[in-house]
Amino acid sequence: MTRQARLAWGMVGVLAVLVVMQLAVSTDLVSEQSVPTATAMLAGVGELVLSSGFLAALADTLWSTVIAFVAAGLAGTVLGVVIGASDRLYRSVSGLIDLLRPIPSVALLPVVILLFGIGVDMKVLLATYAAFWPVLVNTIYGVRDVDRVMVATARGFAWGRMQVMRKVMLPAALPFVATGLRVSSAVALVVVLTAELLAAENGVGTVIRAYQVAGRADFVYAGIVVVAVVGLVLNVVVSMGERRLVHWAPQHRG
Amino acid sequence: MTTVRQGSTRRPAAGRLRRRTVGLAEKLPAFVVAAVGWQIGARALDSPFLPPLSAIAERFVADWFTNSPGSAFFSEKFVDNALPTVGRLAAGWAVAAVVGVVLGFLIALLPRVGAATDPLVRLGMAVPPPALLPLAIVLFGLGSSMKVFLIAFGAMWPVLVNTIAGVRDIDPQIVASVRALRIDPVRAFFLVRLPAASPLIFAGLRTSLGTALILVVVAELYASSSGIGFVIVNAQRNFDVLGTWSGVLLLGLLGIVVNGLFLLVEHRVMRWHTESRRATQ
Repeated sequence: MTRQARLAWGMVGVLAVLVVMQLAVSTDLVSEQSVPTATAMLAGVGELVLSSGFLAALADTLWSTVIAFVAAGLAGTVLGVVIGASDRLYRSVSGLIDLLRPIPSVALLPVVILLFGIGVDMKVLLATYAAFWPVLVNTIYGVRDVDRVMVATARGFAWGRMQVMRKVMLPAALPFVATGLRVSSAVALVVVLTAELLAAENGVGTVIRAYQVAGRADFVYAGIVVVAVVGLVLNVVVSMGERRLVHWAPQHRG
Repeated sequence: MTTVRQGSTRRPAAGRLRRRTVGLAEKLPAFVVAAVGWQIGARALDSPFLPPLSAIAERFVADWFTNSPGSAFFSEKFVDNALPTVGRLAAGWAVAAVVGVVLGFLIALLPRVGAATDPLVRLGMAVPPPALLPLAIVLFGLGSSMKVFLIAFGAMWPVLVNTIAGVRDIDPQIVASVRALRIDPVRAFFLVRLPAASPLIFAGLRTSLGTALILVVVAELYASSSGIGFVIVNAQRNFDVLGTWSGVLLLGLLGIVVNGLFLLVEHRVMRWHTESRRATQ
């Protein structure tokens, strides 16, 4: 199938969904309380994107996401390299990591609220915690995957521990770190939004929640469409960053 | 290290057992250090919101377990709240798995359907699943069907995307052979395509299980009259700090158990795959 054909079919798919929405509501098949007409939803998207209040909320959400992502990325990479580089440390903490990782981070929300209130800190803290794990685990994995001969060779040049770590281990592990960072950027956004939906003062999540409470289905759907587009853009930006960072790695070549 | 290797050359079973005990002996200190660190840290901080681990453990046992005759081991509170949570999780995840795999095959095998749904799948994949909560409420109200829908819809995407990738990745020679042998499509599906795509499908299922767990918690924290999430949020609203921690601990354990069970099943089902990979290497 040619590129044009794929694009055309894609447009057909999107249009089909919008038409079905419109017809389902206008024929009273579903109530407008639960599904808005496609036109109302799209009008809602337009209104949200043009409202300064919504944009401020969006900025708040994104800023919290970025802080959490950077903090988690730094902590995860540093700890990952330290743990991955030492056989003994790796073997002794891997059990603890396997135990803590599957705990759903959102479950900690009530505890974090008790500890920190419902301000910005709470969101950022929870998102940092959640986004930390993918980076940590991928970095450890990457460092463990480094060719032992390369490390031995570097040691043979009488390089010190730090030099081996910086010039051999870190570059070799970088593709894995980058993957971890990409995953954790998505996780950070998800957790910030969740915290906003459940309990927070500002952010897109609180706006969508308010529309749901007010029974405005059109704005609920519109808000989710906007959030999806934001997620898509974030993913594209991070993937581009990943490709730049590790353009030499096999999975990104050619 | 050397003892482990010697053990494994003598008798495989004994070697495996030995390796496991060695592993445990190595891993245990980290748990002890973490637990003792929490205990001492909490005592030193003396914050009402960060109780010592021993107090949380005590409350945990009191909340969820009982030794009263007539009830098997678990307390009434456990039965009333943990079971609904697990039920919603299982129902939603099962729907997500079935719908994800079926849709994934349709999209991967029918090029036009694939092209038409491509933008929708990308958009669906990009929605942070908890953001669907208000949508689920608008659609289904606050009851159990809302939760199952939220879990099913939010956790479906990793299964869907991985199934599509798994089916498209099947070696073209295998597909050609199936066609040449005129194996009927239904048998070809169960004997060839499904197993060939299963490694990626399983990876998707595992991701979606994590998402499903998050979503059941989110839904229960937001709106519920039963479930572990409900217990937690109730305790938090009453500033019952120990109760909050005890609920969080139960959810954490649920995550660990569910994840462990999944790995166990995956290991069993996919044994042919790991073995054939090992053989070809």
